[in-house]
Amino acid sequence: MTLFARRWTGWLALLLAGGLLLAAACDDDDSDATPDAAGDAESAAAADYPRDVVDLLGRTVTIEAQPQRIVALSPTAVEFVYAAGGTVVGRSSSVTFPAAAAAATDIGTAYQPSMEAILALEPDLVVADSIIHAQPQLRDLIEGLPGAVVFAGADGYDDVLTGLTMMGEALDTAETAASRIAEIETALAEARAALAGVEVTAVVLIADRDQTLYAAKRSSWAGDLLDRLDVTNPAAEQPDAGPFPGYTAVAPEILIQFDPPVILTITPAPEPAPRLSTIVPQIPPFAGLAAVRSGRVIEMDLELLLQAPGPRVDEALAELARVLGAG
Amino acid sequence: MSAPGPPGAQLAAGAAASARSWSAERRRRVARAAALAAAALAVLGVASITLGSVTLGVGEALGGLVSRDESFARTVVWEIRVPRYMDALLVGAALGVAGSLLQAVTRNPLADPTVMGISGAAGLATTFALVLWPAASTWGLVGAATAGGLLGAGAILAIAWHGAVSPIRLTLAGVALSAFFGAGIVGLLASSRTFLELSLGFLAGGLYGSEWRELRVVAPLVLPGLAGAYLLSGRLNALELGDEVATGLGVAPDRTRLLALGLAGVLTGAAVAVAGLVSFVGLVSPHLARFAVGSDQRYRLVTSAVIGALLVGSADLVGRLVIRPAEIPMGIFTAAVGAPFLLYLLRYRA
Amino acid sequence: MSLVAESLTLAYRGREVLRDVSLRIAPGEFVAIVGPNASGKSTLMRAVGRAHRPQIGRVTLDGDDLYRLPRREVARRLAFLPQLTETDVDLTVEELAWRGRLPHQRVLRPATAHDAQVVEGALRATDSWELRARPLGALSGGERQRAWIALALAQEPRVLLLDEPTTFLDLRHQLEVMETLAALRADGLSVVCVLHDLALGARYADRLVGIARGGIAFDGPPEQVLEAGLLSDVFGLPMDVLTEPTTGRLVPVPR
Repeated sequence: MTLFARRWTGWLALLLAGGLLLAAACDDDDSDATPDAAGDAESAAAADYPRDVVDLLGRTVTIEAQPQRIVALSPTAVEFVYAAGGTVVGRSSSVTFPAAAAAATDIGTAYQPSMEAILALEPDLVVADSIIHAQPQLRDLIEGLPGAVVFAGADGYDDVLTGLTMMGEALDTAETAASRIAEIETALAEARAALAGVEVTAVVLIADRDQTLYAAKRSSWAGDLLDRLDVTNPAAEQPDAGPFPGYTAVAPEILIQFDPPVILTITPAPEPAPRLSTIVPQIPPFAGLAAVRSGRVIEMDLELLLQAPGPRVDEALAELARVLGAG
Repeated sequence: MSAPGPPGAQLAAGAAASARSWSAERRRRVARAAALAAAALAVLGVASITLGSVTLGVGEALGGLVSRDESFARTVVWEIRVPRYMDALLVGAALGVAGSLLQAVTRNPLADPTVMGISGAAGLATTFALVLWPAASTWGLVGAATAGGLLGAGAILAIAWHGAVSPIRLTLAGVALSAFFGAGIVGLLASSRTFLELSLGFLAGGLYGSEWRELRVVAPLVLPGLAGAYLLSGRLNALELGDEVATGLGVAPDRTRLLALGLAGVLTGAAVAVAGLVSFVGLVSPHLARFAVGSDQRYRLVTSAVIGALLVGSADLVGRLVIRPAEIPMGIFTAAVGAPFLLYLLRYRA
Repeated sequence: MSLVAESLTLAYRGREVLRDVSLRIAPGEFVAIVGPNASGKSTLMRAVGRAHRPQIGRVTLDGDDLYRLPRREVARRLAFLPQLTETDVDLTVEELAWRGRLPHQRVLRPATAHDAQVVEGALRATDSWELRARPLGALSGGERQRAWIALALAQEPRVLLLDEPTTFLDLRHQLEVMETLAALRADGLSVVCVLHDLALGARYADRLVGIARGGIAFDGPPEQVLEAGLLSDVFGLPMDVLTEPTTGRLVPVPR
């Protein structure tokens, strides 16, 4: 009974920590100036509304008029709105990027958004997360909100472009969205160029509370980005194992068998919790790993590669190219 | 000595008079308890529709409750807060009564749906349903949880059955199964593709996302379950005295235990379907009820339902408020509120 | 003719314990069933208390077959108090006595003043009225036994069956309980109890029924059945019957 309770508390602590962490980690990079949607949009032909957009869950949504009061329910959703040139009046608790969004009203965590807080903001568009909110019970609840609801999110590079295009149409800011897409495509090309001719093999690792390691598969956000950069990922096609979608549990002997020259780590726990990049080299069986011997166990940004997949993919790609090309 | 009369027939006139005053006193006490319960439920109800991540004025909330026009207050009160309050009451009442039934059946004051593994069975069934069938309807999930609760009760009975149902074997079987089912839930969640974050409310016991739709499915299970438990209450009184005495009082012990376990299974299953794994309510409500109205199950069971409802309702209110607009699953607060109260009673009022 | 057992054959765990036993208990009679351990006296008690269905034979209560009457109906006419092993019942004396009203109550018909009156009567008849607010755990053995008898009396039975009501009690409390039981028959109640103490039965009962070797060895008033040869035969050890010099009562003792 006690053991049982402890296990549950353990999970709970893990989950709470995960939620809080979304808030903790954020890049300070403010170079991404966000144009004001309202002003930008007034000039465009507002007569195009109502218009239909197809969101990331494949739903066709009718937008009645240019959205003025947008509530976004996850960090990714907020970033999509701002990247497409919009602003939000409400956002989930953990949002810290862009800084302008942090000033918007808190509507609760992404996993349990408060319906009454959303209603109180009288939104004309709710942007939900196509990954987090795809779970049927939550999806039903959000779709029950009055007004238009679109789902945007990213499991991979292509989703970002699709999401941006969709947001651009929904907000009537297609040009802003298109220029953002162009920046992203440029960033991809530059990152690929930086790594051209270099044979890189790397795995992306996360760990749970018990220090069980999980490696990103191709179906994860980080795994997809590695794939875009033609990085060889030995864990890409591993079978599903463990609770984290897109990640597979790797036993120590499997990691030793992979022996990747580069190990990228992501640590969800906030400082001062030790980074996974310092833990892995201290695990005795890993002392002989190539990455450990050459000092290429590298900590990556939590938001860019795990918790806020989305329009900042250009930064993520540039960062990957930087650390992978450095050897 | 043609018609031997009962010993009571020889009572003096004074005893008859004292019986009459006893009767009036009893009516007064029942009326007072009922009024107190109604007042507490009403106060908590008003607080529950007034407070939340958006604070309404009391007048505004009550206006939203009675008005027919589509105002913000009406939407929040009717679509979000009223169904949630009702869910809290149903879950609390179901768990309070399930705990009472299990404690009576096992004659063990520590028994409750969690300890006996019935919550675990219902939770495991729900987790299975969610993992294998992610788009499950409310009906599907409630059905799975209730079937799980019943199967759990059945499993305990099957394992404990030994010619007859002994309370101690029931308890042991329950404790063992509880560990087994709990391991199953965590194992299934740990190996499944579902979002761990979404399991939080389920494992800790939360009411996030309560809707009328859910209530319409669960109420037809819980309300008859509560009524059924009340009909058993007299027999539970007899069962408390031991099987042989119960038999002497005209009660069939094994049949009563079977019915009570079945009802506990249904009530727990429905509660788990709505709120996930809420611990402690089933354990503490019957004890608080006993302090309030004494040991007679006919009053105690009803009181336990009311106390369970108040416990879950107030825990949910607190959970919605402390870190608003985010919320903390109410299961965390049921223990936080109930445990100190029970400890106080044990220490100073026993 | 109140409680009648006709040619009962009783088995316990597949083994025949009593064969072809008949017994009748008249209204207002105080009967003690005695015999050595494992003689089947408790089994007989359970059979006439509707707790042990006989293999052969039947038990009737006022002419009705006991095992065909609904349980509740039986509980309204006959109270059977088993040997008490439940010591952890956490109730007050009064709460316990109230439980005796269960066979008379319906779920949707709450307790009435009549119920309260009967409970008070039962508590007074067992000298438990003053103890009514005390928890069972705070009572002496004798007081507790009287509280349980109050429970049985609250059923308003015509027959009261008790299995070993004086076990675990010291001498004073044994006498207290027996006095209480003996007084009850004045109201027309039949009292039947299993006793392992022959002397107690001899002192209080109207009739002694001796069980030995699978049948009834003797059945009659103490002055008829208390005979040294018969008792020695039943209990399997040499016994004497003495006459108490002051009261003239017969006292059986091992030789």
